[in-house]
Amino acid sequence: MKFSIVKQSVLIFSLLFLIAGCGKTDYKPAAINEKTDKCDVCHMAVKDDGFASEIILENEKTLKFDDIGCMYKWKSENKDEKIGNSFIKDYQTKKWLEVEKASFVYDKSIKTPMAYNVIAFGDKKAAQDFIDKNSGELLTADDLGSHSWERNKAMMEEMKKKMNMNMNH
Amino acid sequence: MKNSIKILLVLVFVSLFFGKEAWAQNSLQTQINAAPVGGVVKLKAGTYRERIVINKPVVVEAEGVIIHNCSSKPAITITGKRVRLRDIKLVDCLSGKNSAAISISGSGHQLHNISVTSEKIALKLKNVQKSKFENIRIHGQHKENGIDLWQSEQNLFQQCEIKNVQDGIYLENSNHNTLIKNSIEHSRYGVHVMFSDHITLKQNTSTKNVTGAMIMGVKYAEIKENQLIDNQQNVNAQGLLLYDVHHSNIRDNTISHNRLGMYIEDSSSNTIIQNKVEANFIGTQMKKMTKTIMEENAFIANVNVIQATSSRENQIQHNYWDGALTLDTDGNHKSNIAFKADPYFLTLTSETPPYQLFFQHPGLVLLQKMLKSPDEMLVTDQEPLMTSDWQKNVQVKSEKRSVLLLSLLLITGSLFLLYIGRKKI
Repeated sequence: MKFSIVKQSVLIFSLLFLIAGCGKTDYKPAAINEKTDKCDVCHMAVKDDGFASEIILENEKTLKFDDIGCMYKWKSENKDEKIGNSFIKDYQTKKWLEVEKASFVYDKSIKTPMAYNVIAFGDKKAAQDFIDKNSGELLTADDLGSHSWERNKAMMEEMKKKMNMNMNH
Repeated sequence: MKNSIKILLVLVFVSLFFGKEAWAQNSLQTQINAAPVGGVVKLKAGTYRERIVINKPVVVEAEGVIIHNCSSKPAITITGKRVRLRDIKLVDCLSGKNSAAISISGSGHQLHNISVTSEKIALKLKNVQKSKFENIRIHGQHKENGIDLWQSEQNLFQQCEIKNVQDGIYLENSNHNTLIKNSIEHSRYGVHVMFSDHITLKQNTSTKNVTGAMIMGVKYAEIKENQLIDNQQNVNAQGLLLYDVHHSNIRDNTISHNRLGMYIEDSSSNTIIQNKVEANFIGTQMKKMTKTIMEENAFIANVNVIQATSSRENQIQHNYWDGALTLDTDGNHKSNIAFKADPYFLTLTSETPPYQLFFQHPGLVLLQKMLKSPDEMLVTDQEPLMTSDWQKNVQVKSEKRSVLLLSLLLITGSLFLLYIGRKKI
């Protein structure tokens, strides 16, 4: 029962490949528990709705956010953290999407929990349909990196002006 | 006999389908429509199953009126100006996402003594100005907000009692609103303010909620004399949360028996004065708080008193810390020994929350002393107070009582001695 050197080498390499394969982690989003989950940035309760997002760190710690804007705020303040993957809920189907693969719509009129006004769609066509029916700007995950992430104070100022005008009339 | 049965059946049929509740001439809407502009309409007492719209300046008095609404639409819709509605009771039997029991727009309205039992938003205000809401009693099912404001300004909410809703009073993009003496319990957030400036919260009571008051994206708020108590049933429970709050005044509040008393983040230029922070698991936690004055607060019997991270340029002084080592050599009621709070425990538990089990464990206390945090990470009060105002009051009272007792004892003793002395003679 002696293995030849070739056989031994094949066995060792196969084992090495197997171990290397095991090391690759498949990050999966964790379910939202509305009773206990809170946003890691703004501390509001996270609802299991079409706005929730998550970051899974390489150490498998899960961070949850009630608005994708909070997630990008966290990313900008924690650039040294190692992110395994990030996820966002589809605005319509409420299913988890990988942020990198999703399409996004930004519009001042879209109400989101922290007024960042960005929503996600798994299907680019669904995002375009939403824009056609309402209004907005189609964005990719790369675009979000350079998005300003200003909370929609401009919209609020416009509303205030309108209200003042109405009250004066 | 057969004829009388037939007549009886007809009568039952008529009473069922043409009774008061459905008879057009007696309907609530007919009574309201008949009232002149600026007039007073007294609705006939009884139980009605209809939805009403009030869209002209009119006083509606509805003592003994109960509306049962089994529609997803609002039972009462108020629009226009100067509608006054009082003494009505609403019972909703259907829920509906974002739907309301009472929908209000317009200005100058006054609602008084209204009772709402509903799974919907009890009062939904959109573009409402200069209106007054008093004695509103809301009983929900934890699904929607009790009172929900959107772009509504200069309104007053007073003595409202709200139970079992999502957020008791929710304000978004609504400036210059005043909330006085309201009580909210068993809900998610008692008061939830988002992106609204110049808000006044005074003498409200928020108990047994996930958060007593959640104030976010706010400037120039006055938060005074509120009782934020017993908010500890949830893992994230807290008395008062300030996030992105600026130029606001937090004064004379009692924040006690919460999981976390006060949490302040991303906030600046606030004054936090004379609050009583008592018997919370964590008294106060601050993150990125700047240019804030924190004076004359009393921190009593909190498991972990205070912690600050990334906070600077704050003026934290003359507070009372019950756990502080104090020594007053010059008799100015302020200690000569500075109070310093180390963020060690909370820094440790922020990464691994289960370590909270070891709070105040002797081993951890020893570790904290060995691995002392650098000075810039400590919360330092250079001159802590020797006593808090509350403690002073209690002390004065108990001192008075003991003096009185001692005097009584001495008088009784003297009299007794006098009596014995006289007997011997």
